[in-house]
Amino acid sequence: MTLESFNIVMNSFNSTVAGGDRNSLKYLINFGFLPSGYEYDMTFSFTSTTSLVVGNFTAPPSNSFSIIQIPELVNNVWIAGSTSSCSSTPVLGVVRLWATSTSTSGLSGYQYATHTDNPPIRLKNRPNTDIITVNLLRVTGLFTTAYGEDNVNYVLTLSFKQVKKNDFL
Amino acid sequence: MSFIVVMRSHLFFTAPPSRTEYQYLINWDFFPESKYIMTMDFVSTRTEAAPTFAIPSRSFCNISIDGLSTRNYSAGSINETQTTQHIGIAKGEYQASDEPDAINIGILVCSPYDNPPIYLPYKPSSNILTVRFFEPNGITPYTRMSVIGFVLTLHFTPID
Repeated sequence: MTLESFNIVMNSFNSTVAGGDRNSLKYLINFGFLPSGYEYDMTFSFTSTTSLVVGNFTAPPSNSFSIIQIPELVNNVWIAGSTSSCSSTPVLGVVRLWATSTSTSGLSGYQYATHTDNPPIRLKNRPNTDIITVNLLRVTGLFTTAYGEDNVNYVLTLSFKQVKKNDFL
Repeated sequence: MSFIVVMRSHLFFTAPPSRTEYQYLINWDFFPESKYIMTMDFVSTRTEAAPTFAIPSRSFCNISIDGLSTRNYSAGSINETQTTQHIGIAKGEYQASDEPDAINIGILVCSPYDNPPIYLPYKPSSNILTVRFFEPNGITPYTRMSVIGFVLTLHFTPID
């Protein structure tokens, strides 16, 4: 039996809220096209537009990459930290900087991740939601609006590859 | 055994002067009946005029193809299942700068690993492939295509 795959394209221009802060956008979708009874490996690719704000990715250095979170879909990524507790994090992966312009005042460019940059995330079932929230965060874990990142647009493509359910788990 | 289909900006069936849309003819008889995984790579010529990719609307281009039956969907402001012809993105790559912060020369490019593979439940059947290029908003034609050439390669791998 062939295990199929499906892609979902999310363009920030098409989110539920036009304009405004792109660091947290919501998208609506009906997941009825994904067959139930399978697990899925989810991967993604990401490309943002260039920011017009010179130095947007060099001041501060924590702007060099972003963390993408999707709380509705990611629930089996675990965080290691300062305690031995067992807690999950909705981190889908990270996107990195591609520089397009340099000047004495800093570096500007866009951010991207290829399909193979981040490891796949296993979903135990077809997503049971009609809403996808895409959060973009700095490494410090805080949203930022000071350097223009909140004004860049992006295309995020999620890929769902079917995996046979493991009956023993 | 996999199959490769190459489309060039200088060998096409029809294309308007804006070059934001190209039509290509193809006969798929050489493809066996099967399901396929398709990936793409794309490379453009260098842009002759600057600035190029410092402008947000030129940062990357969305590529869509009519004539392939994919399992690609879009999410947005409507709670419905919507299919899309979008097959991937070619991003701008900085090549040279005559003056800091002023001029950026580059190309549009993507490798087979940049965009997710696309599942085709059937071998393609349409004899016409229409390739369209859009700005990041996915709606406005990418008018910069009028001054650059490209090679778009599709890789088809049969799967059982």
